[in-house]
Amino acid sequence: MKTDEKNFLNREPAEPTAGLNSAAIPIWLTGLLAVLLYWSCTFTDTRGGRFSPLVYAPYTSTNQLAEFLPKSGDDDFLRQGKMVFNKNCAPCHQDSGSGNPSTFVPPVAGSEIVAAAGPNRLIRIVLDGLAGPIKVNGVDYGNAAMPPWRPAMNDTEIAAVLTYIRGSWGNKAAAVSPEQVAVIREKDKTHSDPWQWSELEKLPEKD
Amino acid sequence: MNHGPLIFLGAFATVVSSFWGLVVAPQLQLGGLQPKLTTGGDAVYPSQRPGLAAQGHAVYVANGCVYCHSQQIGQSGVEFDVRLVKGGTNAVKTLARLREVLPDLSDDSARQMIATATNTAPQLLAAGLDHATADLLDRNLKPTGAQVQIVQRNLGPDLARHWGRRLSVAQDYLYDDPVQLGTQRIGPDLANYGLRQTNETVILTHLLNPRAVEKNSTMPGYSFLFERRKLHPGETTPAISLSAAGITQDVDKTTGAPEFFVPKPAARALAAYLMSLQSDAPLFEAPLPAPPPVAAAGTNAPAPVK
Repeated sequence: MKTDEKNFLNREPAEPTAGLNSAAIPIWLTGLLAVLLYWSCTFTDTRGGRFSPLVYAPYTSTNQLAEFLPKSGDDDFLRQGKMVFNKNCAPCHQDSGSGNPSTFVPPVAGSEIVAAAGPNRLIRIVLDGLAGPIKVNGVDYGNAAMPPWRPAMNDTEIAAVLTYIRGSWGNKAAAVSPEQVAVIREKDKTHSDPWQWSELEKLPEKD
Repeated sequence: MNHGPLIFLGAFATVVSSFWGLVVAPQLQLGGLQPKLTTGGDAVYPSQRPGLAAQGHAVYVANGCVYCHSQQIGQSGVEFDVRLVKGGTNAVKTLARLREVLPDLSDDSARQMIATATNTAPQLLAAGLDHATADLLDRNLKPTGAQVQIVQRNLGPDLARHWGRRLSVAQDYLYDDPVQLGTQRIGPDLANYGLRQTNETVILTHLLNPRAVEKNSTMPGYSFLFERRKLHPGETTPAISLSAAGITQDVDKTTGAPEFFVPKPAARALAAYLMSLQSDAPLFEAPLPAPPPVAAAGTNAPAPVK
């Protein structure tokens, strides 16, 4: 009787366990998955555009896109300057740089202040703004009021936009470097009010 | 539960990987997107919609236009046409160079092209080439003094329907919140609707009674965006006459003044929004077909294509 009971218990199958075991995953499936993985990697590699945010199907790389584009003569710094100008300055000074006498905005195109020999006064105007009477090319612009851009623009942006306005619309003055802006930004750290033209006039145009 | 921690880790990894793929990775890729200059370099793109159009966006969302109209243009490919704009002095040499890239070109037609090609009357050498072949043709012909023009063409069913000239990219939607991409096209795509239709009265009539503008339209009319009444003296709203809206004209018996459908502010805002839908700026990531057809000397009109 006892031996029968024992045999009966022995016939009970073992409790199943989870886990990887070679019998559960056939070798062909492993092979197929490996092939699929390889194919998907190659597929992504050739069509993914290296995950650049500038590449969309059907294009496959930024180089390819660059080849398709018409070549432009502008260099990157000037383009950045134009971008900054159109975004921040053009609402008052106009896209064409002509200014707007009815709202006391002097022109930047053809202005002797913009096309000055050195950019020192210009950098100060952009950094801390300008208030009060100003004469450009002999025309009085009365209550000109330009806001300060010190917190809103970094040195490169200011240099780019000044380079742009000094070299566009017939202006032919030298480029401005971010270092020149950085020097003046540091020097005028404590300057809080917008500049008056009478103050600026006493400062040298050039270092 | 023999493997509690393992199951927990597996589930956790699944959630983390989908969060990474659907939230973090797109944010890293496109989160810093800023308005930028178009490739022509003239304008900052995109610009904020003007106030009325921004209100119209809310009307568009509220009325569920997105359930039938998408705002995204697909593009399946790009191909190039090569046109000869200058034949060069040595026709025999030019012909030989042409032959290397285009073996099927017949002698007679090639000679004809070399003789007649000018800047204003470009001769189509080959259509539908890939960029490498078009470029090869260009480099092959340069030493002979001949000049070619490579014309890009964007391909795809959406573009063939004239819904746009290029694919839609993330930059197009920078100021849209929520973005109205749409998944169904029961009506046509609206990504460039503002370029196709610029007449506010036609748009308003379409909103009021679509069948009055498009005979077979399945779009419902949005007559609740209008009020039906007589015009006040001196009123200048773009009111729609009953006959224009497809209803027999009804004249008031006492005064003889006709009634009109006068758009409410929401209708005019929606029309302004629809007219502001223009995703056609040339961008680095979405080049437009280029260059445009050459203008004939002394005119501003583009030459006829081909």
